[in-house]
Amino acid sequence: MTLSRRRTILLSAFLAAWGIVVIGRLVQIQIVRHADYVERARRQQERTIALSPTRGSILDSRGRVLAESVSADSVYADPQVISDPARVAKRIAAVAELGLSERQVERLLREDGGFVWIARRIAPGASAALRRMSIPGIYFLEEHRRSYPRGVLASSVIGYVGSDGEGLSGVEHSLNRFIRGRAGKVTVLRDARRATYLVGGEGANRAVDGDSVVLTIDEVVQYIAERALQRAVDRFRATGATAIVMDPADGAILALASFPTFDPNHYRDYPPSQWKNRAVQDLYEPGSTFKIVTASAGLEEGIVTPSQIVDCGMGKISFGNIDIHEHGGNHYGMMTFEDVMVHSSNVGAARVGLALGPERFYRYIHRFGFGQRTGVQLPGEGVGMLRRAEKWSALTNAEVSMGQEIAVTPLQIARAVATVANGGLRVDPRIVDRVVDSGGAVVYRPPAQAPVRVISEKTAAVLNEILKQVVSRGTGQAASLAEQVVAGKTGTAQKPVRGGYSPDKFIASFAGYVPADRPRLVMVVVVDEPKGSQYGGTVAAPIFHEIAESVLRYLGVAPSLPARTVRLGQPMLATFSQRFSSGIDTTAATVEARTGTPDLRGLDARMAISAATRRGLSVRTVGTGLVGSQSPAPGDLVPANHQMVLTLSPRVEATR
Amino acid sequence: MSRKLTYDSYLFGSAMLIVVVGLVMIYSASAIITVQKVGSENPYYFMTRQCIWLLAGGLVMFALMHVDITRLKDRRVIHLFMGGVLVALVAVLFQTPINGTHRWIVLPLLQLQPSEFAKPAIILFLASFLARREDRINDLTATLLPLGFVLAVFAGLIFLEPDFGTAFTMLLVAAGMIFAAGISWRRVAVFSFALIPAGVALALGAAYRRDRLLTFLNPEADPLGKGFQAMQSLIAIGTGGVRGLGIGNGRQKLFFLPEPHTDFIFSIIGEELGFIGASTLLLLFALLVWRGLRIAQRTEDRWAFYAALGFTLMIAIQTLINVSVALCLLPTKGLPLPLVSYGGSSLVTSLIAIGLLLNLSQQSS
Repeated sequence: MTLSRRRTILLSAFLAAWGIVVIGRLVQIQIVRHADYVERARRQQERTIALSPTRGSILDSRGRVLAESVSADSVYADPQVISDPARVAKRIAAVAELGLSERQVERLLREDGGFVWIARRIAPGASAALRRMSIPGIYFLEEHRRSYPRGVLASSVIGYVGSDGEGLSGVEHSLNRFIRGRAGKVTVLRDARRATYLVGGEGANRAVDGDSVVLTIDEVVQYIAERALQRAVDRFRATGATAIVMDPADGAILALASFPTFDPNHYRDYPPSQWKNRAVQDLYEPGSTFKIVTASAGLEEGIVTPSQIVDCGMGKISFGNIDIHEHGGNHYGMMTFEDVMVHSSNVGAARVGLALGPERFYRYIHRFGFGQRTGVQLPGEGVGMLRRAEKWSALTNAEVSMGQEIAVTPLQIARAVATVANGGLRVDPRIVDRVVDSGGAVVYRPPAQAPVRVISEKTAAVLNEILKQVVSRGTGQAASLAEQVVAGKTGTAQKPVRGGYSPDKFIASFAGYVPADRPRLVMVVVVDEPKGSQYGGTVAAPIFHEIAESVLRYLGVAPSLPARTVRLGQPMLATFSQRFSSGIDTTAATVEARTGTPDLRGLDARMAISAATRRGLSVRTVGTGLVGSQSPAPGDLVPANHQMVLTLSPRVEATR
Repeated sequence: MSRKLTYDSYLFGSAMLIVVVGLVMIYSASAIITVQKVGSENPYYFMTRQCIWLLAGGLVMFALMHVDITRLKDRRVIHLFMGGVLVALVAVLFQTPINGTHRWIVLPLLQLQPSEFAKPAIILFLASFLARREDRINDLTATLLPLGFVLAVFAGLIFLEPDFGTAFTMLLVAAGMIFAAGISWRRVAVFSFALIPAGVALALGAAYRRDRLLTFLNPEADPLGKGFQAMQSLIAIGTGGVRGLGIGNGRQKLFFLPEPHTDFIFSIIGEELGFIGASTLLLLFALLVWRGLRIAQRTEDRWAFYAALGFTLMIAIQTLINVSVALCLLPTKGLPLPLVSYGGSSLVTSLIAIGLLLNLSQQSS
């Protein structure tokens, strides 16, 4: 009896000791190591899911969609859950839209680990088919797919988005910070089967969708430009081409086409070299189109007047043992500066450039914006190459006058031409009009640069007349339009190669604007290595013509030139060059002049000068702005070539 | 008649409180997973069934509280009970296995676990046997060999199912009873030296037991593999901290813990009720066991002493093993927490023990 009692007490002690160990262990786990286990639990129970924002759209100036994000399912699998990979693979591969073979899927399903992508961003049909199967271990995640409904259209401007959802080129890249939106995240609790069962309220951080970008690009203008460019590229078997269509008044780029091109929906199918935007990234020697700058500087500085006779050296100007020749082996003798431009005389341009001298000339080149980015919001914009004036030799000075030894981007040329079209005011080109949030409120507008006066309104007006001549009777005739007066300049540049210039590789270009007296469009067309013909006037000018004709009609610009007067009108314009042309024209102008002076009041300088010169009158302006008074008064009879004096006063409001 | 007032109300009270905690925790642990476990949309599925078992077990308990003790001492009754359990233990081996084991006899509406009923059968047998032979307790041929034979047959059959945990519990209870009967320390030493190597051999004999043992020794080496259950149990209990996540707020029952409503219910209690809840539950068990041992110590009758001791040990040892497994102090065994875990046979067996202890508490005074 007492033995049993003692033994029972021993047993009790054994149980008590065991119990104390258990309680001690409980203290250790629940209190001492509590935090450690909470962390372990959190790691296996919680998952932070990134909530990807929807990328904003890219729209053209009229709100037409150029790029948008559409939701698309991505499919992933948990191989641990899938017991029969072969059978599941067979079922998945049966969905033909996925384009996956049974073997591919099975290999994925046999991978170690608990997560493997089967297919990213699949088509809605494929997703629906897979969802209907409801295979255990196959899950879906809603992602977004970037869609470019117009395919190749404006692709070099729009760019593309990489698989990580970041814009990698074009506006997609340069404005990625707006378009991307802000990612959110949410912590969800998961059970051991990886099924999410609870979305945590706290810590949830909603994704903010991206803003949409409204471009200055007009889809229709862009289409017109690309179509024309494509045709020319095909016809001349060119290696590349660029066309820029710009509104000179505010620098808005209406179209920016670059060839070769790519479809951003399938950008990987194209070599990376085709993803670039030649209009801002390509550097080239502009050739004769650059004579616009030379002429501007020469006229502004009073070095030349349109009627001044320039010695074109019978086709040659020498610098030591290096000669500069005319294009096409021409031998011009003495001719007016206007004709230097009209016929694109290299020697003539060089003489003007040399007369300017490096410092002065450089200053103008710089003011026109060469050697500086335009600031257009496209990635990878080239600066160009412009040697500092101190380092110019006489040869450099002459070469630059005709657009050599200087590298520019097509867009820089467009900006320079727009400056002339704008009456001497430089307006920087822009391609992003505004950024709006999902509610349509403007969240960003690129800062407008104040226009910079590069040349006087008068110089611009004079140059305008010259550039009209280039198209009406010079190298740019192919750019002319039946119903509009076109001003512009051709360029034919040999491509620089090691140690000189290539004999058979050219860059043909045309830069101009239309209507010449109230410009609505500035256009630059550059064709790289055309075959069969290499001249700006034969290769690029027709593209200008084609694009301008369609775009002006699309924009509803009223004809400024009745079609029937074209033949009479063109020679009349030549009277500005002091009857250098045939006598018939002069007579016509003289007859016209005797009918009386036009009423130029209220016009801007360029319009006034155009109108006056059209009647065979020369003009002297005083001041800047709009014509306030004129002498002689409107309607007075004056002899031909009489000089009118126009008094200008600052304009009250900008006219477009 | 006035004897009814002498039921040990502490024992009754603690047992009933434990049962209530069990019902709540079964509901909490099983509500979400019923669909996956049994395909039932009813979150009360397991709790409802446990309530039905509680009703049946309560009737058994009530009957045992009032049955005349002399009837239970009757060796024919004991032998009949043992015979029935033996038949069931043999029959269960021919059942289609569930989860790879032959533990359950599946009847139309319920499943029975014969190994659970083997424990009271053996305790009743030992009580009767030891009461008669305690004076010859060290006699090998008269006492120890027959005892050993009966235990070997029962434990062996349970071991074949296999249900190592129950066999182990049963043998430990028996050992405690034989120890209390006054077996000499020399015999204890001899048996210990004989049984420990045998136990090790058995434990390492089957691959699954060896794996469990090895993962027990180092559960964090392979937390997602073999050490999964042990690790998940520790995570559950550790997460609970002092105050717990609150009833129903546990997360580990969502398939991280394999049997949250049965063998690992203590892990869920630790997670949801925290140290306060878990230790309170353990104190309730301690109270129950203390009262049980007190009843045993106060009995006049030798049979009553052994029976009270045996049933108390049964509850105490099974509780300690189950909790030790949950706390990763012992390798994983499939063993329910008495009065708490879901499972009809286990609940009824535990209530048999409570009923008998209450009955015997009347005898002591």
